[in-house]
Amino acid sequence: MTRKISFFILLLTVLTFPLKTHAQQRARISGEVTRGTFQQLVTIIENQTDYRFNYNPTWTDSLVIDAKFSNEDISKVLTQVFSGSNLHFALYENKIFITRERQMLTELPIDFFNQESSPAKDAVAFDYSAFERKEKEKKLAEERLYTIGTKTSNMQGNATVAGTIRDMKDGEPVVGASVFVENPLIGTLTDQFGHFSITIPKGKQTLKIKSIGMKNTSRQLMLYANGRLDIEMEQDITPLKEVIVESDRDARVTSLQMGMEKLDIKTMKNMPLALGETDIMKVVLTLPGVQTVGEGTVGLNIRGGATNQNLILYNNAVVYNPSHLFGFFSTFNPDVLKNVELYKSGVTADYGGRLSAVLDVHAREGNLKKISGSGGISPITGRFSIEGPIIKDKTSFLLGARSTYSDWILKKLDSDELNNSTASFYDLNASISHKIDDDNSIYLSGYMSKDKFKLNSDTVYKYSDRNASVTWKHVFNSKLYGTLTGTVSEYEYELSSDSNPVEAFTMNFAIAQWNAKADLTYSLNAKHTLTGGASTTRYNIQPGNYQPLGDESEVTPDVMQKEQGLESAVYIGDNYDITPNLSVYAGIRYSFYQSLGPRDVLQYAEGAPRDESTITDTIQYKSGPIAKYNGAEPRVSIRYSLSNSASLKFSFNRMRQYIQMLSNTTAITPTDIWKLSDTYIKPQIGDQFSLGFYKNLRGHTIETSVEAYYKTMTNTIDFRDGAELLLNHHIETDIVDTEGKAYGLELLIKKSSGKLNGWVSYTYSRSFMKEIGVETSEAINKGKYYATNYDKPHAINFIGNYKFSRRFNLSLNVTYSTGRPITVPVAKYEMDGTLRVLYGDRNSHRIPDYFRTDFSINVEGNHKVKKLAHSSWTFAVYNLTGRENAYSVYFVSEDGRINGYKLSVFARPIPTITYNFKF
Amino acid sequence: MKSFSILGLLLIVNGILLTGCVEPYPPPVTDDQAGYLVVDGYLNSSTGTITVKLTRAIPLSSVDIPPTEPNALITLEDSDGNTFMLTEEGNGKYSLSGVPTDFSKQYRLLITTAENKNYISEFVEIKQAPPIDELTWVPTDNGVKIQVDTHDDTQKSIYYKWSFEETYEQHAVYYSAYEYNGGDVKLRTPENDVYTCWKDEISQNIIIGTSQRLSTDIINDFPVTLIPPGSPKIYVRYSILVKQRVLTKEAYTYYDKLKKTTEDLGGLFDPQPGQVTGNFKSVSDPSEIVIGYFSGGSEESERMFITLSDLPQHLRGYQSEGACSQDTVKLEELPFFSDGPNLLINGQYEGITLVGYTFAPTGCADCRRKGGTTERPDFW
Repeated sequence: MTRKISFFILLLTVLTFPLKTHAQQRARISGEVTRGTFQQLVTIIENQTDYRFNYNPTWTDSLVIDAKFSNEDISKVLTQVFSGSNLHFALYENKIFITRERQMLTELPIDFFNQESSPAKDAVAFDYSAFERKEKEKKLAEERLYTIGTKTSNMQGNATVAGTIRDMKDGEPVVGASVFVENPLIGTLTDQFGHFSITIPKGKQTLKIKSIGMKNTSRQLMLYANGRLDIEMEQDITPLKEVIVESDRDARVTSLQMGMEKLDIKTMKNMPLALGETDIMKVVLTLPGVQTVGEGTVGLNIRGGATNQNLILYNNAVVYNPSHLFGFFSTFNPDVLKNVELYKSGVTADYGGRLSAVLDVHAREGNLKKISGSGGISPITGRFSIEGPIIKDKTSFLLGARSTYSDWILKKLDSDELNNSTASFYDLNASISHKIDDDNSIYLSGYMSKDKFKLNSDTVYKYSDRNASVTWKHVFNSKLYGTLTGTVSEYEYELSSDSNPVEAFTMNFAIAQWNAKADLTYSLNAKHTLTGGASTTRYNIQPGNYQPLGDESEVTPDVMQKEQGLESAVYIGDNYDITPNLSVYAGIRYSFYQSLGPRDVLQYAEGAPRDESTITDTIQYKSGPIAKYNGAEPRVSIRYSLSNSASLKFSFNRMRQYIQMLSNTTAITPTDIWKLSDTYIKPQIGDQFSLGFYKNLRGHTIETSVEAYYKTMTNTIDFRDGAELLLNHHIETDIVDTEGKAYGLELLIKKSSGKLNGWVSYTYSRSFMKEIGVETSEAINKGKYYATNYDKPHAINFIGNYKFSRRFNLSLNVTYSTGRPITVPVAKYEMDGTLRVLYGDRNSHRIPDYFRTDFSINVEGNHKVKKLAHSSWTFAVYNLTGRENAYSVYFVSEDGRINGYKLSVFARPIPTITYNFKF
Repeated sequence: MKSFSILGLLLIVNGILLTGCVEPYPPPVTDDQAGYLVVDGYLNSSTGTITVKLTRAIPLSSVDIPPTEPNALITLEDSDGNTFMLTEEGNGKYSLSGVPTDFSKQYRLLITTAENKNYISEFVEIKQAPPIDELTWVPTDNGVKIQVDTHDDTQKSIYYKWSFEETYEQHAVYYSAYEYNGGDVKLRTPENDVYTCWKDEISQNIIIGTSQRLSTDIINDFPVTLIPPGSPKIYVRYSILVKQRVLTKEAYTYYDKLKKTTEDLGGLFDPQPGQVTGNFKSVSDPSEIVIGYFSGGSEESERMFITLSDLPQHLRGYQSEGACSQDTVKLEELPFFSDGPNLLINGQYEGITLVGYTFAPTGCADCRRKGGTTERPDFW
C-alpha cells in the first residue's frame, strides 16, 4: 500500500458551479506519478488532452499520488486517485470539475497554496488589496476546519499531526513556536527546522500556535488519522519592545524543559548595548546563573562551571573562540542570527561533550520570497548582509560580513600605549537552505572569523575560527523524521615577533574536528516521543609549532607532538507523558573516547608526583588507541503540574568531557590551548541535580520560578602556580587534578506583557575546587576546597522596559554581582634592595563588587503598515553611573616599593546611538 | 527578519578601548602575621665571597620596614662536605671572603637561627658568566634603550641575569657662589661646591633573558633598561655599569616566576599570581614557608657613558627653574639671614658697590637635596 491520502477540507467553502457526475467526453492518457502531487497529474492530463481542470488546490494539496497508467481512461484514473477520499470529479465539455462531497457553495475559496497555478483564482469576484487579502486569508485559515486523515467512524485514540511552521513573509521556519491543544493540555515546540509533531486525541481540536514576535494563530482540525499540516504565521509588525526570554508565557510552567533560556535576536536588539552592536554573549550574561570573570571578556561561567565546559554551537558546529578584539565583541554577527538557546540543566541526551552547559546559536535562513539586505556602520565596526531566494520558495541564501576599522581609531587615540597597538578583525557567514520536497530539506552553513592584534608589544597575535555544517532533514512520515548532520570546525592561532631579528619566531596552534551525527525523532503516540541517534567526532590538534622567522633568526624549531582523538556516542531518549500532570524525559547517552597515536608518552615513577625529575621512560605508541575511556551519561527530567499555573520539575544530568582548554589566566585569552584527554588527563565527569518550582500569576502575565542545583565535577584540572602552558612537552607536570562542587539557587520574577515589563533575577551560586591525589601539605590551599576564579555568590539582574506609547519606550538594565575571587599577597619582604610580595592561599580574597546600570530609549518610526521600511532609533548609555568596576586588582613592585592598583575597563558612561530599519 | 541597522554611532570614541582606568588600591588586611624567614644569598666566585642577608617578611599592610635577623649561624657547604662558617656583620648581613670556589662543585647553605630553627638550601651549581660582548644604547621613540649583547661558545650559559648601577651628573638650579659662614660671607671654594652632584641608582627590577629557544647561546640586543625621553638622568652626563651573571635553569625559573607575579601584572590576560618561595626549606617543618634563593657564580660587568649632546633632540631634557626663584638680602640684613633653608647665590651690586646678595631656597642651589653626592666618582 503506497498510496497515502490525507487532505484538507474546507467546511464552509463551496464551488459555484453545477455538479455533473457523468462524463460528456472520454479521453485516454498515459503516464506515471510517484509520490507526487495532484498538480503533477493535472499537468499530465492537460498536456495530453483538451481537458482543463477547475478545482480548489487546498483540497488536493495533501493528496500524495502514486499512479502508473498507460492509455487509461481519464475517469478511471481519477476514480482511482480519489478512491478513499471524499473528492469527486465531473467531466463537462472540456472541463474537469473537482468537488468535495455534494454541498452547495456559499463563499469563495481561499488560495492558501499555489495561488498562481490555481485556475480557481480566476473565479474570484472581489478585488482585495494585497493587505486586505492577506488579512482575509489569515482569518479564513483560522476559521477553516482542516480535515486530517481519511474520514472514519473510528474516533477512538490518538493521531499525530506533523508539519512545518513558517513565517508568512519570508518563508523562514519559526523555531521554538509552541504548538498545543488546551484540553487536554498537550503541547510541543517546533525544532530548529520549524518542524513539529504532536499526538492528540482524534476528533475536533483547536491547535494553537504561539511564538514571540509572531501573531498568535490557531487552526481548527477534524482529526481522523495521522496527517500533515503546514502553518504560516505572520510577524508582529511592531517589534516587541518587551525584553522577553522567548519561551511562551505558559511554557515555563507547562514544558518539561527546565534550566533552559531562549533568546530571540529581536529581543536582544532591544537591550542596551556596549559598543554599538548587539552582542549575544553579553545578553546571555543577564540571565540568572550566567557569570563572567571580567567586563569585556567573552567567557561564560554557567552554574559554577569553567568557561571551557560550555558547548558553543553555531549552526550545529562547535565554535572554539567566540571572541573578537580581546573579547570586546563576540564573533556572532547579529544581522545573520536567529536565536540562541542556553541549556543550564535538563540537557537532553543528544547533546554531549561538555560538562556545564550548551549554548546553541542558530543563524537565520535566507529570505525565500525576495532579495533583501541589511547592514550597519559604527565608529568601530561595519557590516553587511544580503539574502534572498535562489529558487523562489525552495532555495535561499544568506551572506553576512563584518569588519572593524579599530586600527584607525587606535591611532587617533591620545595614548602612546594605544598608538603602538593594532587590532583588526572580520567575520563571514554564508548559508544556503534548500527544500528538496515536502519531506526533504538541506541546510548548508559556513562561517569564518579572523583576528589580528598587537597590544603595545612587539608580538603580533592572529587567530581564526572556521566552521562549516551540512544538515539534511528527512521526514519519513508524520511520526518519524530524521536529520543527518556533518560539521567541521577549525581553530588556529599564531604569535609572531620580528623585533629582534635573532630571536624572531612564529608559534602556532591548531585544532580541527570533524563530526557526523544522525538523529531520529519518533512520535510513537500521544504519550511517547522517542529521540535517538549517534555521533562521532574526530579531533586533530597541533599543540604548538615554534619556528624561526627570517634568515637571521637563530631560533631552534620546536614542534609539539600531534594529539588525536576519537569521540563517539549513541543516545536515546523518551519523552513520556504519563498523565496530563506528569511528564518524564528519560535519556541515556553512552560515549566512547580514544586517544590515538602515533605519540610518545612519558612515564612517571609510580606513586611519586608527576615531575620532570620523576620521568622514568618514554613509550612510543604507533597509530591506534593509546588510552580509552567510556561511560554512560544518564539524563532525566520530570515535570509535575500542580495546577494550570504551577509545576514542579526535577532533572538529573551526567555529562562527560574529553577535551579541555588549558588556561591559567583569569580571562579567556586567544592563546589558550585545547588539550584532549590522554593517559594522564582523564575525562571530566559532571553530575547535576536540579529542582525547580514554577508559578504563573495573574493569568500567566507574571512568571515566577525558583531553581536550585547541586553539581559535582570530577577529573577537573587546575594549574600549579606559574605553570607554563605554551610549548610544554610534559604539560601533565603542571596540571593538578582537582574535583569540584557547585551549588546555587536562581530566583526569577518576570512580567512579559503590559506597559511595564521585564524581569528581576537573583542568583546565589557557589563554586569550589580542591586538589586531590597529592599529600595535603603539598596541595593547593593544603588540599582544602577553594573558591574557583568564577565563584561569585550573589548576582542580581534587573531588566525593565516601560512603553510610553507604541513609538517610544525606555529600558533599564541593572546588574550587581559579588566581586570575583583573587589571590592576594599576605606578606612583603626585601630582596636585592626591592620589596616583593608573597601570595597567600589561592582565591582567598575578592575584588570589589560589580555594579552597572545601562539605559536606553527606543523611538519607533510611524506605524503605517504599508511603507518601504520600518525604522527606529536607539539611544543607549552603558554604565550610566560611570562606576569604576574593578576588572582586576594587583600588586606590583615599583621602584623598590609595593603599589596596589585597581584596573577598570569601562570606567565611564559610554553613550551610543543606533539607527535601525527593517524592510 | 530583515533588520537593517546603520548602527552604533558611538558618541564618545575616545577612551573606551582598553584605556579604562587604573587607580591605587589599598593592600588587603589579612590575619597573616608573616614573619617568614627571608634569605638572600650569593656566592661570588669571582671574588670568592659569600654574602647572605637574613630578614623577616612582614604583613602587606604593615608600614614598617622588614626587620633583619641577627645572631644566626650560617654555614656554606660544598658537595665534598667542606664547610665554611660565615661571620655576622650586623644589620642582618653575614659574609665570608676567601672561599675557594670550583665550578665543578655544588654548594648549599645551612642556617640556624637564634631561635634554634634549622633551614637548608638545595645544592646549587655555580655558573661562570661569559663577558659582555657589547653594551650599547639606541634612541627610540620611547626613550634611550640600553642593551646588552653576549654569547657563550660553550653553549652552557643559556640563562642570564643582569643588574645595573646608574650614576648621573646632576646640577642645582642656581650656582651658589658664596658661603654664608655665620655672616662671614666668602666665595665658595671648589671643595665646597654644591652645584654639581653625582647620583647613584641601582636596578630594582628583575632583568633576565635566555637563549634556550635559540640554536646558539647568544643574547642579541637585550634591553636592560629604558630611559624615558627628557629624563633628568641625562640632563648632563649619564653612566651605567651593567653586571652579568649566569643562572641555573632552576634559578631562572624562580626569577621568572617572581617577575611574573610581582612585576608583570596589570594587563587583561595576566596569569594568576601564586606563591613563589625559592630553594630553602625548614629542616624540621617542611610546610613552613621560607623565602629566598641561594645561587652563585662569577660576574662580568661593563660600563658606558652617555652625554646630553649625544642624544637626538627629541630625547633631550633640560632642567627648568620650576618653583625656584631668587630673592635679595641687603648687607645690613645679613645677620638676620636664615641660613640652612636658604643659600646665597650671587652678589647684588649698585654700580660697582656690593649692596647685598641674592639667595634661593637650598633645594634650588644645593644639588645634594635631590639625592646624590658632590664627590666625583673614580670612574668619572
